[in-house]
Amino acid sequence: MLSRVAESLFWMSRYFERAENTARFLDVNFNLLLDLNKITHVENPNYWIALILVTSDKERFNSLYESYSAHTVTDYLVFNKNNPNSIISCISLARENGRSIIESISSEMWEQVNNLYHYLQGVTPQFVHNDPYSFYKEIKNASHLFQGITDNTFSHNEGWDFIQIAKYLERTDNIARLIDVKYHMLLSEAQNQGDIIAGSEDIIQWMAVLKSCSALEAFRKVYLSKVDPDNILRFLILDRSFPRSINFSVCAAEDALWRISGSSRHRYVNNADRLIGKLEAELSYTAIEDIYAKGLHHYLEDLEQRLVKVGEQVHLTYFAYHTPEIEPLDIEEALPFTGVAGGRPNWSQAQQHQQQQ
Amino acid sequence: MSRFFDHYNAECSHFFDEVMATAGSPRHHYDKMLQRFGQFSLDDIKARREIVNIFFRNQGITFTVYGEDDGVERLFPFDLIPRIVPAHEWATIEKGLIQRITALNEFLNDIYHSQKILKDKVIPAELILGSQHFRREFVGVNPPLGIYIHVTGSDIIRDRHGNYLVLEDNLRTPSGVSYMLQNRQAMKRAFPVLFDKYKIRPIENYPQELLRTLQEIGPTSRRDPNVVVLTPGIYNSAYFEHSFLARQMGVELTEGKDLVVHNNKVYTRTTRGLEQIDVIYRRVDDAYLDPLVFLPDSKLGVAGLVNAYRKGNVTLANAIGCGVADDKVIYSFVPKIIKYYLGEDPILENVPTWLASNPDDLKYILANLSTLVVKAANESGGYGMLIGPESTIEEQEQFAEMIVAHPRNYIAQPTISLSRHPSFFNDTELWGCHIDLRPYVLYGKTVTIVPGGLTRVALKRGSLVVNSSQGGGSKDTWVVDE
Amino acid sequence: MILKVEHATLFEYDNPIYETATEVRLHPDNNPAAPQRCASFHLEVDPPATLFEYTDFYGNQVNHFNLLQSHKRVNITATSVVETGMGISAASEDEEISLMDFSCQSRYVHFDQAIRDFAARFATDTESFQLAESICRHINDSFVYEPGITDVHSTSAVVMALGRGVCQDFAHIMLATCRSLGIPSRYVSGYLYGGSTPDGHDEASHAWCEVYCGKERGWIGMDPTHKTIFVDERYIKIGSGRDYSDVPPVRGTFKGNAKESLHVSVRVSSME
Repeated sequence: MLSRVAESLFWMSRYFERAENTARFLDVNFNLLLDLNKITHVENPNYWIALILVTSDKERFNSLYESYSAHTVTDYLVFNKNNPNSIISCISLARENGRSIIESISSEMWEQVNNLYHYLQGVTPQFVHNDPYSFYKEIKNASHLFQGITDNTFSHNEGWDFIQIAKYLERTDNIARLIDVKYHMLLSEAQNQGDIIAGSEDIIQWMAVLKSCSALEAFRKVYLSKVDPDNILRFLILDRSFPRSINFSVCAAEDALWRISGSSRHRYVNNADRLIGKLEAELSYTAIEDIYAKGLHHYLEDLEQRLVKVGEQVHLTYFAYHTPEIEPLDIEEALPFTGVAGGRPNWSQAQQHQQQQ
Repeated sequence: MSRFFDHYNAECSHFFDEVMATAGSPRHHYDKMLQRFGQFSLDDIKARREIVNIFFRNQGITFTVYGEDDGVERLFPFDLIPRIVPAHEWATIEKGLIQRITALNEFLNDIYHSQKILKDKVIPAELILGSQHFRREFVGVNPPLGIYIHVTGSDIIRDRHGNYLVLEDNLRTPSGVSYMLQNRQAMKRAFPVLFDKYKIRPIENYPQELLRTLQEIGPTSRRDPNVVVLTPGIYNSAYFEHSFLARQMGVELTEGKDLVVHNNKVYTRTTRGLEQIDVIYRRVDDAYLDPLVFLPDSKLGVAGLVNAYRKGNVTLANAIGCGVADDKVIYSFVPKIIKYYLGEDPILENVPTWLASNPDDLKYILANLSTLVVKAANESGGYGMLIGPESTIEEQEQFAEMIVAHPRNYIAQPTISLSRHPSFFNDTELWGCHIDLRPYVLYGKTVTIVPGGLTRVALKRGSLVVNSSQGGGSKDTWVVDE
Repeated sequence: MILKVEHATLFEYDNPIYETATEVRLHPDNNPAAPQRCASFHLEVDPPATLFEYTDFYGNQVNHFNLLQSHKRVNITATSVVETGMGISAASEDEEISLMDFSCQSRYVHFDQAIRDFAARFATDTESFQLAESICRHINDSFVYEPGITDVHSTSAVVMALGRGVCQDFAHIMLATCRSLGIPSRYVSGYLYGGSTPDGHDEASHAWCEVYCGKERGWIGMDPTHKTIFVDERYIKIGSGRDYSDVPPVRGTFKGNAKESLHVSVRVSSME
């Protein structure tokens, strides 16, 4: 299929997933605060800082706001158009990508992303503040609906595979960041208090980590009530059945990449396949002890970087304006991606003329 | 007759009415239609309007550009009363069009090669050389089969006596064929009984015929030519048609940014790498096709396309440079062109035309501005026009100045009373509205014409302007076998 | 004379660009009617590219190429050896229609009021040859040769208002004047041995005019930039057209977000 169309499908899907994940984080944080306030009655900005850290652009936030609070962080992550990762920015970009390929997506898909966009245009910060639960539920539902519509109205061909790759790469990336930040927040606090697992406050926070990934109920089915860090990490990173775990998502992305390229186990066709295959293979033989041996933070950081590389290779192999047969697969030479297919200057401009003297 | 037609005032003394020969006396080929409409109540009409609207809405047939605020997308106005053309009339139109398109193609071939018609002074050379659409870059290039105008649409009108005349030739990206196809689908759903009563020639195979034509005109070296449609993109008002045709033909819809010319061959960028393409049905005007050779800041084309075409590695439909022949000034020479290349008199005649660039004609035009329709020769779509009988003295004086300043740019024609066809106002009463006809002609190994075409109707009361961009609508057109 | 030309055009970019597509008109005219014979022509592009050629509407040879992969520079060098001084440009059989293009306005050549006023001072009851010669001398006398005032996009109207410019501009003024007085004339792109500027410098190719002086005399080359006026064997012709836009030495497009810088060098040497 046309590279441009594949690229737009990819990014439409990726931005949608990103918006949904942001809504989840915010939603859980509100719940967490409600629960915690019953115990401590203190608003701890650390929880809000954590959210900004997950999306890792602290500098930009600091340049726009003076302090961390429910109000500022919500505004930044939901409404601020200067934040390219805010919910409103993500859905705008998802819609723009969808519109540029409107003939390639089903009319229901377009209707769904368009409706969500218009809904967001009409929502006020006040409304979100008064009833965050309804708002975030709306975003999550819209995302689920979009995925369901896509699954049922979009032929499961190459285009659909690109949609899946984008979704699962984004999901994996988001979970890794969330675990990284939350774990260390909780760990540093616990160290301050001298005991890793103690008190209802910690249990609540650990459960919050699971809730952010919509994993609490599924986790309980496996680990019953043994809510401890080891089990949580095992579940979120290594579980192969839960759709929001890292291992599952990496496998799903790999399957989609293989369907496109025709690769299979032990036989990769391009670098994107090679990198994801390597990642998936390692994950399938990793135990929690291996993760601790490396250090959780390093492990997750390494994982995130590897995912970035996979994304780059997908871009170079399938979307980039230099196609592999002409170009060495060197990301340095490829033109930077701007997040909207066609956002690069991909039109011609004139060379200068020499005046005749 | 029927609640609708009983009150229909055909004004037969002033206009040729397509349905009524004289008041109360319809033309025979409309008998069955009138009979059927006689059975309809207002509610019946309303119900059929709903069916049609739902169909169009589901198809996404709108003509609003996808603007910034995604405003209301309006349905293309469609009138429920079909226009019926009996087979014997169509036979003449068909013969006339084939003759005309064949001659115009010869003309283009000549203009871009030895220019005999200019050397024989049949047409003043400065009209060609001075035309902004004459593309010197294309002189000497040999398109496959010698065909330049693969997809054309000549607009046909009827005068007060019912004679079919050609109003204008459209040799560059004529649009509207998707409306023609969708109108037929809509009518089939809304009036199934009528489709039983009449033997209507089918048009549904147009996309297949178009594809066949495009494949026939591919580079001679390519066995199974790879065809694509080139569109300016989603912001173009005819985008719906581009994507519709691409889908119906089963070919890729591309934009300039999907294409690249490498070593004189044209490729699309796909997820599997570069894929060579052989035929481009391009809905992009010449000037924007190739930033290397034409407008350098065009974002719609691809650099090097003309050179690849010159080399014979790709064919464009239509060829480059056809605009020189659908100029309104050249239009006035078409009867001479037909005579020169085919040795025949035109089967379909032109509307009488005066050229401002001719000194005698210019005198006549300036003296008769109040009764003539003066048009700018280089624009299309009905702008840049003076409709004499409807204009003020001031407007006439202003126009006179413009004509004298650039005579080459203006032509004049008498005000033709276009034929009228009963059309619904608010789906409750019938008015006579002016119509024209745009048949679609395909020129591959042979010339193929879709029976009928798009009937455009000026829905604003008393208006003569049928273009969609200025308040026009359309009707389904039936060529019926008797 | 036997002359050798080395013409180098270098584009450099501060960021990688891609999809360069370029046409060059650097091949010395080798039509039988031209007063020269091109003994050899060598065109080289770096990064390497496949070269193609065709002949354009005005009979000029065009070479073209494209570069797909990203690059930061494009260097085009053309080397030719030409034997000059072989007679005048003969007129061809059916010039009439082709003369039309050289008798009216074009992108750079305008018949505005300033040109009409300028042209009014010439006696039009003389032969084309004499008239063109006096126009040429007058332009040479009254316009000031000065680089850096105009740019490559300056039309005849702009030059007229400024009263100064370079060869390209002088040629456009001469074309505007001659054509507005009914003398068909065409723009010529090429080189001048001894340097194209009046004081003999070599930073660029050269431009002059050819004037149609009737069926017998044919096209006569006249150079309004130099006092010698008439084109002689020091001149090497590449090609001609209505104005600069028909015969730019190098014209191309590219894609990418980068600043472009252009360096041109021309060297014409005698091989005798």
